[in-house]
Amino acid sequence: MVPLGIIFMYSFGENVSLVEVKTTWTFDNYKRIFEPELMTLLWRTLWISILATAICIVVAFPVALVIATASPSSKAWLLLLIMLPFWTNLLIRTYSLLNILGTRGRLNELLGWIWLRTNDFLTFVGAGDLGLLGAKFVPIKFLGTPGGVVLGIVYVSLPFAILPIYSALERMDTSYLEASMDLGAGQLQTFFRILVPLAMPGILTAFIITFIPALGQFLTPELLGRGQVDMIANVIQRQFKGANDWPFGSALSLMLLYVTFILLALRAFGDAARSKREANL
Amino acid sequence: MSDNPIVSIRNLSKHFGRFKALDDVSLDIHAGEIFALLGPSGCGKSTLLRILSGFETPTSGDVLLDNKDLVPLKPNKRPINMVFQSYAVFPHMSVEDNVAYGLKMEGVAKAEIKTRVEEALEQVHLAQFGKRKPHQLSGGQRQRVALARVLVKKPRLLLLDEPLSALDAKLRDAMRLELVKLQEAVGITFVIVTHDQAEAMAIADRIAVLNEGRLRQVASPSQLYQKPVDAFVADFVGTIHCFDIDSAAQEGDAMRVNSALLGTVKLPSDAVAHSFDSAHSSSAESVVAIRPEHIHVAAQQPLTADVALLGSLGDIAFQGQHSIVEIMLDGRASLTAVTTNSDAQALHAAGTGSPVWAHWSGSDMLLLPKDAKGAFS
Repeated sequence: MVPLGIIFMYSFGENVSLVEVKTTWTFDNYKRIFEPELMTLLWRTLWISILATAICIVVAFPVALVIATASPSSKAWLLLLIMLPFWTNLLIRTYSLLNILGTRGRLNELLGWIWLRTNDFLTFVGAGDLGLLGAKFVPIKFLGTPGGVVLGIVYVSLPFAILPIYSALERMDTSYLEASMDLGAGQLQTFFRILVPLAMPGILTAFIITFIPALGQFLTPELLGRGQVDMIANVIQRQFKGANDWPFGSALSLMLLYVTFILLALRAFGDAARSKREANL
Repeated sequence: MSDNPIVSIRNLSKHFGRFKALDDVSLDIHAGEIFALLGPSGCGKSTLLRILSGFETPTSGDVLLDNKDLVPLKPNKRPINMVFQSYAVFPHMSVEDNVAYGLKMEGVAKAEIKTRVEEALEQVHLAQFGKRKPHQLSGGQRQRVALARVLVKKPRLLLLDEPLSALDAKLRDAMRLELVKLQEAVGITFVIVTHDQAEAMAIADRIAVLNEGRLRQVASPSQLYQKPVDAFVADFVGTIHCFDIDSAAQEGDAMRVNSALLGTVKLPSDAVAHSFDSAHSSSAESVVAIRPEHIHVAAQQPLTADVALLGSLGDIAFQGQHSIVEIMLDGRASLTAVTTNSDAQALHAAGTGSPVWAHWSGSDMLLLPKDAKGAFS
């Protein structure tokens, strides 16, 4: 709490000398957040986080479903596989992503191989001259692009998205699904009309638990973004170091904190409403 | 009731690994009847219901609906609907949407859905509750939603899995009557799974008693009670006291039975179960039995009685319309007898432990095989 209090005081202060900050209760630091340059940054932070979270949930749902419906013994192994990356340092995991996502990385190697085989196949069926895939394989640039950063965040956050959805599916009474089939619904209709809505509490938790840390991501944009895809945390870090503008950095961090609080409060309201509903059930 | 069965089950077996949940079951269900599957837990009745609904596939045997093979049809392609034990009313949908769900899946036109949903809700007295969410309803009301949700589809067959088990005693009695009335009104064939013999007796036109995966007897409630096929069925559908026999032999029109405890008793031929044959006449295979309402209790030795046993008076339980009197027999066993309240009071005055005579007529007894394998009356 003490560092937080200091940051709170700083956010209303101004630099009086190179090393000294005086709290003058000015709102200038907060006003600066709304300058166009920073708005672009906030906007980028937001859409990268939303996109990464959305991808996470779309990928996590089927994975969670597979685990929830697996036999008890394979369930334990699958959960272990999900948890395994947690036991490796985040820094090391992110560095290994560099190796995978680089222009000459493993992923591009794989894509190149697929391109080659597909091209062979097209030649084989006599469509080789059409150049459908271009004359030569162009490696996809992941590093230093928003796409790479999104991929990185998805990779780091995926387990956090899988676990709450898994626990929601695990607890679900299968008779709801059977009732849906019994009433004439097919697999797909049952999935979208019954399974997904009933798993919504888990999906919301997965959203919060991925989205909030994604907003504050520092390492992934720093390493995978190569300084070209800055998110808000990178700018905050720069205020405290290079730019030596502690008051502004404080204001930015608190801004992030406020957004987090608002999201958590919304979640708590939702939970309260739901548990009231379930208490009656 | 037509003789043409709506559902025909032929030599149906379902094995889970080595466990035989259903073992060579054959039975017919008639159109328009309430058919109960009765048995203790694990007897296979729920498995049979799940095979009818399509959630389990039989290991062997046939299930025919209107003479057509039902087994290859997926649950959502069967004209059969089920009321789940937990009701499974979708919590995220209003009552109306729950009832409309099955019709939407069928692709029924919107206007028709609306009128049919209203009709169905009226049928179960929930017309005012259409906009409510399930969490705003009581358990009994949720069950009505589950009922309306399947009735609205007008299925050929309606399956109910332990429909009354989650309701409290008072509501259960009311709902029993209401289910019967509802069935009469809609004319749909009901198949009810229950472990409660009183419930099956009160609701069903016919009852199938299952135990350990095997069908023991299919009969009307009164037949089941008066002409049980074996000792298991007799005991399961009500209280009955069984006595081991030493021998049983035909003697003219009657059956002469020797029992260590009862002595020699003559039973008229209609007291002998159909399933009883010479194979059962050895002492280990059969019992003679008497129901408590046929046992009389007296303080004096009766002058004429086919069977009279001296015992001591045990507990007396007041049941409202009648009382149940316990008679201790020599410390080895006890009998219960149903008596009028005034008789019970007279006995009570004599005091617990005082000598009493339990006596009954041989024509009220039953000669039953312990286990009638595959023999149905």
